[in-house]
Amino acid sequence: MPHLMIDNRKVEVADGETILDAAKKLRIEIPTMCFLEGVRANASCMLCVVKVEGLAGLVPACATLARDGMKVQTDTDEIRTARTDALELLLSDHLGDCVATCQSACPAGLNIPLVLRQIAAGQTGDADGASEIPCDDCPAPCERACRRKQFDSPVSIRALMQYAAAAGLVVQPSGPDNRRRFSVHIGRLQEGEIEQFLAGTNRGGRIEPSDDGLTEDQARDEARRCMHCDCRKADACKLRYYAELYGAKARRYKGERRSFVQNREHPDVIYEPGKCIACGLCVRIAEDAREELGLTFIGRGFDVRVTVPFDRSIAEGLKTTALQCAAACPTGALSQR
Amino acid sequence: MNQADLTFVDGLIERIGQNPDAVIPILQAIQEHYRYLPREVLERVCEISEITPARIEGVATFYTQFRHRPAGEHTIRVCVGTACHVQGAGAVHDGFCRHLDIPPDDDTDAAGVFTVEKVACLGCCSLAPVVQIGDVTYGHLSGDTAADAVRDFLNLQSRRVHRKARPVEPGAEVGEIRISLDTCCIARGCGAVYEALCEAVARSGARASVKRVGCTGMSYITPLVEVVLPGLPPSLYAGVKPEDAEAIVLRHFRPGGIMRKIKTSASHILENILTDDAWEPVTRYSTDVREAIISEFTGPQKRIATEQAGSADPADLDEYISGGGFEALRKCTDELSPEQVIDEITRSGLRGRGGAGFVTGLKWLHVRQAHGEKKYIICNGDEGDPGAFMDRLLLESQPYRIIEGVVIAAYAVGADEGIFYIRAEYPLAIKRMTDAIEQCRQRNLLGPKLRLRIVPGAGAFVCGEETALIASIEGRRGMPRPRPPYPAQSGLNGKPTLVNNTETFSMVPWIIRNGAGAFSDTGTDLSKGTKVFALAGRVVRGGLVEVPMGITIHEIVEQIGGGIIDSKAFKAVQIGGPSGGCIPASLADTPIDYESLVGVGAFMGSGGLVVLDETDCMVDIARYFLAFTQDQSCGKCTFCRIGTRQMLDILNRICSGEGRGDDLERLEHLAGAVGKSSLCGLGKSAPNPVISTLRYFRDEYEAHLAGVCPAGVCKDLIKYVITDDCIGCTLCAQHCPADAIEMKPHEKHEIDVEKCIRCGTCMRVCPADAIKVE
Ligand SMILES: Cc1cc2nc3c(=O)[nH]c(=O)nc-3n(C[C@H](O)[C@H](O)[C@H](O)COP(=O)(O)O)c2cc1C
Ligand code: SF4
Ligand code: SF4
Ligand code: SF4
Ligand code: FES
Ligand code: FES
Repeated sequence: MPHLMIDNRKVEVADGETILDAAKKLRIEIPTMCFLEGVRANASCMLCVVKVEGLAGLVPACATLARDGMKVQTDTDEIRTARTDALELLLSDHLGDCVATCQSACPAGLNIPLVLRQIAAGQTGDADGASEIPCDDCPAPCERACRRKQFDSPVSIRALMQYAAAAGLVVQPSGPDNRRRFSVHIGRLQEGEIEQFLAGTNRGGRIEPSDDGLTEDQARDEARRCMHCDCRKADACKLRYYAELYGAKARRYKGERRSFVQNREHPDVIYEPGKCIACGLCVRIAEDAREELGLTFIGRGFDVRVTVPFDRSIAEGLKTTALQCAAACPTGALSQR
Repeated sequence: MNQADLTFVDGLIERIGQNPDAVIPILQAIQEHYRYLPREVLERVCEISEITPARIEGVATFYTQFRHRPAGEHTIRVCVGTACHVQGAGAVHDGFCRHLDIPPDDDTDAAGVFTVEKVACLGCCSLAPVVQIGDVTYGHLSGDTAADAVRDFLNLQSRRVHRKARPVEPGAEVGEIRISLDTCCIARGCGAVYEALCEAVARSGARASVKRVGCTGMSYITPLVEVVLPGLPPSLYAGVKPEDAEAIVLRHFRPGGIMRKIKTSASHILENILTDDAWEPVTRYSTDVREAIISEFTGPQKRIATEQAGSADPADLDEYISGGGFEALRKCTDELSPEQVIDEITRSGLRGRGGAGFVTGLKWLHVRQAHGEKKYIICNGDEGDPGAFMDRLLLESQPYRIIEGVVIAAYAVGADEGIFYIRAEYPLAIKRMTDAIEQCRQRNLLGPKLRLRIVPGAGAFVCGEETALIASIEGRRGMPRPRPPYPAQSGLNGKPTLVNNTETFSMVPWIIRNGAGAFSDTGTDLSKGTKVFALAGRVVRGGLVEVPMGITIHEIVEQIGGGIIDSKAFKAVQIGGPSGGCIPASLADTPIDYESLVGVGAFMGSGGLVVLDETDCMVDIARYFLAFTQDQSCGKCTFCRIGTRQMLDILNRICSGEGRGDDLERLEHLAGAVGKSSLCGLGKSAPNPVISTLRYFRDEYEAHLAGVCPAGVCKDLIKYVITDDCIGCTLCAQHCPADAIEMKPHEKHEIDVEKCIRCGTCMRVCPADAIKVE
């Protein structure tokens, strides 16, 4: 039974437990992204690095076995800098917009794509609870920012928001500071990329509202024109959360922008490989659940990617574990539809 | 899939096995058969074995050896190892692609005849730049001679006939003709010389045996033939050609048999020719010349690890035994307890030769003390440093010696299964080791329970790292994992495992035979014994050298290497390959030992030692190594995967003249971060070449930022110009592959800077030295 010191406090752990386990016993929080309780540790993101006296450099707490007599520090300047570095490096190769362009343009920061998804799905709210929205007097910068105009014309956002408010759907800004973005921005869509976004949308032209606003059918059709260029994990993304916590600068390191890919083959989840941080959680979850095909890393080094073997579709790869993987994925790479 | 394919795959699985750990050998066999990995075949493998699609795809795309597109009939392997890089391997690679019309994103010509690959050190650095086409090796190539090599190869293919030399009757010989037969020697034509010697002996009936021996470490003068007659000093011939064979044989051996009369008169004539100064080949390379070179070359060296290299037939177990082989093992098993063996190794002060220099005895003790019935022992012969080839020569030229070291270690730590992990790029080493293990097994030299086998690597530098190596043996992607636990506690299949480097094992029998004291007499306080280096680069004599620890860099370069070629100015040595650093000439008094090297920002590494002169650009060297490690990163951890890429982007920018003001600070910050927090040694040491060059050659970085490459190496920062010395011979115009020079007989020529691809061909062909770099 090893005894060790973490941040100058004594703790005893069972054989085979890690520094992270030991820290948990002391309620010392160490940030993690590629680690998930119950799944074999992979030690890839390096966010959980800590300093062990006597060992050169820093080591990942999630996968380093606790040994008797270890002296561990979990929160020094050196460690914080390393974590920020790790986050900034990950962000330099993390493609996608956390927040849709319409939402970042909205002075009230309303979560437009979420509302449009609800309308498109035919959800209705409590008509009595119609919410107050600031759209009536707004010049609608959201529509000017809307990406759909690169294909034909912007979505009638303001009318849809008014429709939603009247229909009692909850129209709210998301998150505390919902417009900060941590990623390589998609920016203007590159050749071929618009096709990725258009997949599954209503290809018809913009429906202009009449004076009475949109009818239910019109609203649904128009909402289906939204390309959902936002990130579905914006509020649950660990990368974004920690980037904010550690004050990481998304554009500290610049790299070549890859092309944006959105894979919608699966009925339950959407896969956006540009956001993957290669943590391997989904690969291990699928493997442990004995998915017939599952997922695998292909390639090596900077070009390593997560795919389904033999170029099969995600739907074939993740027959039983798709939602579990989407929930485990620390970023918006795999997200629930 | 057709029936033949089905039969092949099914047979394969039956032969190799169907467990997940067989995946790499299975893929290797498939690739050997099809020259790539066809998708249907992989799917079939998954159908009939325990190997999952995720596993097979993951592994097949991890290792560089595996191809996913059909390859050409012949493979052109362009060595881009360190020595070849500094001598212009890039231009050679471009030359082949240009000649074969291969577009930049492809590697195979349209007709599917040739595939051009870049490979790390082929182990013949003294021939740099080196290229292997099929099984033929070409040395000293340049961008413009690529075409000649291809032609020559095709020529050779069309008239390839197999000559089989008649064996010499046993028992008849009185003398021995030794020829070194290693890959680099074979490359230089030793194979043909060997055959010619056998033939000459057979024809003349000379009472001599022709013998293959391991490498002598003097690769700069191979083919090397040594004639040994009882009671006489040996005579050595260097640079021998097949046509010299007869003369050499007849000079030393009286012909016998029926041919005697005729031959005697013939040899008379030959004797005359031999003393005739006009007939150069043999006189030029005779014994006297050797004395001068070799005494210097071998002078400051001391042979422990390479003790038998060059004097023994690597395949001959009897010869190994009669030279004292397996005596050390007998001593261990008969006279010493395992603890005593470990104690002896500990007292010798031996430290691991694989890089980090961990105390070997201590490591053995840890494995000995680890709990568990089953223990493994692994000989690390992955040798990934792109400028090193000593493990390969050890494996090729003294396989029994390595085996003896491993068997002793197995006895000491209590292991019953041993694995030699050898890179697939070393086919001769794999063959010799396979044969040697079989020989030892038949003679019962391995003891009752020890099993030894070979696992070929599949092309991944990171698999030299012990935890990645173990993952690879287990049939997984070669991704390292954090330590602790160390392999000594939990290694292969979770069992205690001893991992040592090949050279480390090679030291062991010597230490046991001669005693710990004899070993620790050599070397410094903390670094005992000797170290083998692959000396290459801008020195007059390159090759394998084994030197006592504590020798200075200066001594290696000047006395052993014979100084810098063409009396250029010595600038630096690069020690330790991608994990190491550059030591400037001003610190040439630094002794070679683990601590001193780290003190000056380098690293012992596995033994690559590349000498650089004023014509080498240090920024380019840093970029070269970083490009290597970046390419070899396994991609698991953030710092190495993305951090090295960011560093490389910056270096590429600097080398192409687009560096920005804060690039050096950024580079330094990243170097620190990657070195500190990467998961394994690859990432941790990847910044070393950058850090050390920034430390000693910052001015060169700054010059690049200002748009100048002082050494004239970085293509985007230089241009070639023709001076007034031009004699109008038109040679440059004839050879320029980019048509950048217009042919103007008898006039001064000019280079079109826009068209020029900076391959340097014109400069090489110009007879008037009229082309210079600006
Ligand atoms: C990236 C990397 C590559 C390595 N390559 C080799 C190698 O090619 N050969 C080797 O013996 N050790 C190599 N090592 C060191 C091994 O991990 C291990 O320390 C060594 O084999 C132990 O043997 P030793 O104690 O005899 O040196 C490498 C380490 C790293 C981090
Ligand atoms: S119209 Fe509504 S949703 Fe659009 S920007 Fe204005 S407030 Fe935001
Ligand atoms: S998709 Fe998500 S869970 Fe899977 S490896 Fe990428 S980041 Fe990790
Ligand atoms: S340091 Fe590099 S090679 Fe080592 S685990 Fe990390 S990514 Fe892989
Ligand atoms: S959580 Fe430990 S390395 Fe990612
Ligand atoms: S043979 Fe090319 S570097 Fe060694």
